[in-house]
Amino acid sequence: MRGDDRDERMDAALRSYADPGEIPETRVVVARVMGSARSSELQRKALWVWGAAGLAAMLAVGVVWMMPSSRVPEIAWTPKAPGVARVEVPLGEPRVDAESASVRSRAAVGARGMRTAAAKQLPKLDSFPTPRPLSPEEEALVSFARQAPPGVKKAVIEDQQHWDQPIIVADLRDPSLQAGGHQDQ
Amino acid sequence: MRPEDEAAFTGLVERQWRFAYRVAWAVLRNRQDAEDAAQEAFLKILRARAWQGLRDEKAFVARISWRAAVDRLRDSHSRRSPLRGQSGGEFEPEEVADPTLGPEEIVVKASWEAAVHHLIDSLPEELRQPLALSVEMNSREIAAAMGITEGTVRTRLMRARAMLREKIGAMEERRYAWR
Repeated sequence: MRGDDRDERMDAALRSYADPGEIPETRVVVARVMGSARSSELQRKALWVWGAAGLAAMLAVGVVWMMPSSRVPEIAWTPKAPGVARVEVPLGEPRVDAESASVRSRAAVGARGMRTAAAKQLPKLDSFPTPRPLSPEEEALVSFARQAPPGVKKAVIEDQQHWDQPIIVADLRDPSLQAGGHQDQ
Repeated sequence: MRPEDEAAFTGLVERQWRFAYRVAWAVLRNRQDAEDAAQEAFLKILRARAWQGLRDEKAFVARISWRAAVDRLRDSHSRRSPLRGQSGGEFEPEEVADPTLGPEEIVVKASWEAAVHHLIDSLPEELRQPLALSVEMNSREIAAAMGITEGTVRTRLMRARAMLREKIGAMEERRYAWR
């Protein structure tokens, strides 16, 4: 067989190889493609609807969760009395001699617990040191400062500035005593 | 979809359906799968609204159709045996009927072409596909469809034809030796 003849037959076989024969009609194909497109479009729309519904549900759940009324109620704050609250510390029944040491230690622990609890219950004040009422001497000083004439107050103040100096007291000279002494002698 | 778009798309399918089907057939060699692949290609074009303003409509359709067919071929390879060659080897006189040939010549020609089809099927896929597409398209169109350069297409076509020629020669030598 010659090479040209073989090539011709090979090309003919190749043409028949690539020939699909009867081809489906175009109209049928158009109808199928358009139908598939429409159905997929509907599916996509349905997917969007379901997705949007799910998202809305999640948002609703989130909003309900974030609402203050839906939270766990907070413990109401009640101002406590400024006094020391009594704290009951169970000590149990006191034991007899053999266990007196443990009873004492337990009592000490209980007392310490009471002190700690009392310290926790003390009100905290804004000023330091804690204000307290005036003593009688302080009250007398205040009344003196309000009522005494200015000359006297000045003298007292000047005298206060020399408080560390020794007090000089003049010699006592009582003529009557001296006279009486002479009489006894 | 607007009526004018639908009309434009219908026009594209009417112009390119046969071509897209033949491209898919060249890859898959199965009527049902080729039809499905070609339809899938047009469905992709429709969804992407890509049929408007095409510079080279034929090359674009060839590319999409070839891609859909190759994807389907890969899926079918993973699922079952290859689609190709399903009708190969059988005597199908209606495909080679020629009124100028006598009965014996028809049988001889049919069996010879069926044997050559088997040989084409046995080529490597990178050579078989451009060879099968070369009946329908030129080198530039094949290159656009397969996403390779035109020079690569020519090289592969030369290699495919040389390999096929060699296989046919070996087959005929065995036949003559058997007779």
